[in-house]
Amino acid sequence: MLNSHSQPLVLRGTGVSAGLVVGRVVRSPKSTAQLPDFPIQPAQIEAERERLRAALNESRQQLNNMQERLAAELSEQHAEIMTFHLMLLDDPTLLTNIDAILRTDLVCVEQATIRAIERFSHDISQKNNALLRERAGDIRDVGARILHNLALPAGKETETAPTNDAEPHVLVAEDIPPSEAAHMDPRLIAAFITAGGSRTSHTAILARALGIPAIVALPNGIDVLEPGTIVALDGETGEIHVNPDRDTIAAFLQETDRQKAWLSSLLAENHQPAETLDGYQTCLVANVELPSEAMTVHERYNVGIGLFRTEFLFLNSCKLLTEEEQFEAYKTTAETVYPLSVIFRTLDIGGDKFLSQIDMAHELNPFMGMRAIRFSLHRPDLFRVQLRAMLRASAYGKVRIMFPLISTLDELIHALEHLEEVKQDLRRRRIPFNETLDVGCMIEVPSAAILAERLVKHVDFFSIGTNDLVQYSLAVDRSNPDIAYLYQPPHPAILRLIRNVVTVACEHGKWVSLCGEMAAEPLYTPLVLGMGIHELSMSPVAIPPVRHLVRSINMYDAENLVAEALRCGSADEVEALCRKLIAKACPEMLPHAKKCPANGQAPAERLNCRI
Amino acid sequence: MPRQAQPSNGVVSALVTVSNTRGLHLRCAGELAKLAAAFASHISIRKGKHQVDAKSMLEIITLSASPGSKLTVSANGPDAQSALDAVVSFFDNNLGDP
Repeated sequence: MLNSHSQPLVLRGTGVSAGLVVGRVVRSPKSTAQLPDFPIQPAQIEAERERLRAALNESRQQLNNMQERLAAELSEQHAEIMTFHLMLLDDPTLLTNIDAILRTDLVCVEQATIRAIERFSHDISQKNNALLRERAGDIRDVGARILHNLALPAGKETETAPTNDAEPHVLVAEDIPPSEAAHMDPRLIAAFITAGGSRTSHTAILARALGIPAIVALPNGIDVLEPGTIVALDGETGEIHVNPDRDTIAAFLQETDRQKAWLSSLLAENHQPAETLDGYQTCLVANVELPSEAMTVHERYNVGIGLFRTEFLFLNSCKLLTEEEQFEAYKTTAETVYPLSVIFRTLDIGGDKFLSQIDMAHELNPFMGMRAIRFSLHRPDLFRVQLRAMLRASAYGKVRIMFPLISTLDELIHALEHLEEVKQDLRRRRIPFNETLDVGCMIEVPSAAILAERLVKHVDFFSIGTNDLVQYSLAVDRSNPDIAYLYQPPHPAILRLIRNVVTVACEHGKWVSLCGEMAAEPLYTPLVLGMGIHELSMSPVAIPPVRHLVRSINMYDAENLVAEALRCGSADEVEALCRKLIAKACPEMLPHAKKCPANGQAPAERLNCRI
Repeated sequence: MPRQAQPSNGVVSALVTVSNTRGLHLRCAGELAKLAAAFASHISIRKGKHQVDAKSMLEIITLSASPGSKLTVSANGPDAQSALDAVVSFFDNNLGDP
C-alpha cells in the first residue's frame, strides 16, 4: 500500500443526510467505461433490436421490483420518480430514436442507446427550468440501466450494491443517480459520498428519506477515496476522516450507538408540552416548504408552522403561480394545522434561491442584492398577488404574514401599504379575510435589529432569522468552508442584537419568534429561551431534542445564563457556558449537541466536554 | 399555420388550460402519456411553437407547461374524436390532481 493510504486525512463536503458512519469505501463502477462500439450489417438490425427488447424487459423487471420494495418507505414524490423511469423504458419517442440510429448509423444497440439518451438528456439539460434539468439525470440513469442490462447474459439479476460483506460499506462515486440511491439498502450501504450533487438533488432527498447518511460536493474530488479505504464520516457536518486513527473510530462508533438509543427515547415525549421545570411554556413550531409537509409536521409532532417558505412553491413549479393556485396552497396549509397557526413568509428569492421563471440580473454579491422584500417591492404585481392569496387564506385558519429581509423602516411601511391596499380591495369586493391577522417582519439584517424600536409600532411580531443575521453581522459567507469557523450564532454581538429585539417587542406587547439553525440546536436552547423568545421555529426533526431540553431546564437558570453570556467577549465563552448548564441539567443531551465548529478547532477539548 | 385552421382533413383540435397548481408535472405527464397510448390516433400537444407527441412522457415534460398554460391538443386518426375528448377531459379534471 502507498504511504498516503495510512495517513489520516480529513475531507469536507456538504452533509446532506445526517448520521455517523465508519465503514470501508466501495466504488461504484463507471458504467460507460468499456461500452461496446462496433458497426453492424443491415441483416443484424433485428438481432440488435431483440437484444434491446431483452434489456428493456430486464430493466422493467428490476424497476418493478425496486418500486415494490420501496413502496412502503418512500413518499409519493419519490415513487413518481420511479414511475418516470419505468415509463421511459416504454417511451415511443425514445425507442423510435434508438431504432432510427440503429437503422441509419448501423451501430450496435449500445451505441444507439447511449446516443439517443445523450441527445435527450442534453436537450433537457439546456432547458431554462431547474426542475426539468434535474430530469436529465434521470434519463441518463435509465440509459445506464439499459446499458448495464445489455452487457449481461439474459435473466441474471444484478444488484449495484455489494451484498457479500457484513462490514458497512460507504459507496463512493462521481455521482449517484436517483434510481441507484433508491436501490440502496441501508443494511448494505451505510452511507454514500459523491463528488458532485447538491442538497436539493433527488439523490440527497432520497438519502434523507431512506435515512442513509450522505455527503456530496467534495471540492477536491474523490480520488483519495480508493476502494478499501476506511472512512469515518459525519453526514451532518460533511466531514470525512480518511484512514482515521483508532480513537476517532472508537469515538464515532460510540456516538452512533448513543444516537440510536437517544432518538428512540425521545419519541416518548412527543406529545408533552414544551415547558420548563419551573413552568415556563414556550411554543415550538416547524419550518416547512410545502403544504404536504404541513400535514406530516402536524400529525407527527403536533406543532404549528413558524415559517412557511413560500418560494419553494414557486421553485417546484415551472411558472409563476397564479393567485388561485397560491390561495389553494395557503388555504390547505392553514386548514391542515388549524387550530394551530401558520406564518407565511412572502417570497424570499435572490441570494441563493432563484426562480427560472423570472429573469434576474446576475449579481456580484447576490446576498446583498435584489432579494426577498426588495424583490417584492420591485415587482409589486407579483407581491400583491401573493398578499391577496395569503389574506384570502386567512379566512380558513390562523394565518400570519411576515416580510423577509426588512432593513429599513421605509421598506416595512411600503410593504404594509401594499398589504393595506390589497385589504381595501378585498373589502370592496366583499371577499372574506381575517381583519385581525398578525403581520410581522423578519429581523435578519443588523440595521433592523438595532432599529427594532422604530419598527415595532408597525408590526404584531418579529421573527428573528439567525442564519442571515449572523451572516450579515459577522460579515461571513457561511457557504465558504475556509471561513465557516466565523459563523458563530452565539457570538455576543448576535446575542445583544437579539436581546434588543426581544426587549423592544416585550415593552410594546408584541411577540418574538426565532427561526434559523440557532433554534434547532439544543445547545443554544437555554440561551434562546432565557432571552424570552416566545416561539422557536425549526426544522421538524429538531423538535424532539429541543422539546426534551426545554423540559429539562429551569427558566431561572436560562435567564441567568443569558445575563452571563451577554457579558462574554467571544462565542466560545458563551458556548462553554451553555455546555456547562446542559451538563448539569440535561447531561444526556451533550453528546447530541452541536459538534466542534467547522474548522475543526480544538476537537479534543470538545470531546472532553462530553461527559 | 396551426392545425385547428384546417379541420377538414380529419384532424380535430381543442384548446386546453393547465388548471392544476403544479403544472404539467411528472405524474401528470405520465398519466397523460398512458391515456394517449390507449388510442390508435396520433395525438399531439402544442405550446407556442413547440409540438410534442402526447404518447411520450419524455416529450411532454419538455413542454414545461406551467399552471395557466394554454395548450393545443390535436388528434388525427381513426379514433381522433374520442382521443381528443379523453385528453380534453383529463385537462378539465385538473390533470388528475386532487
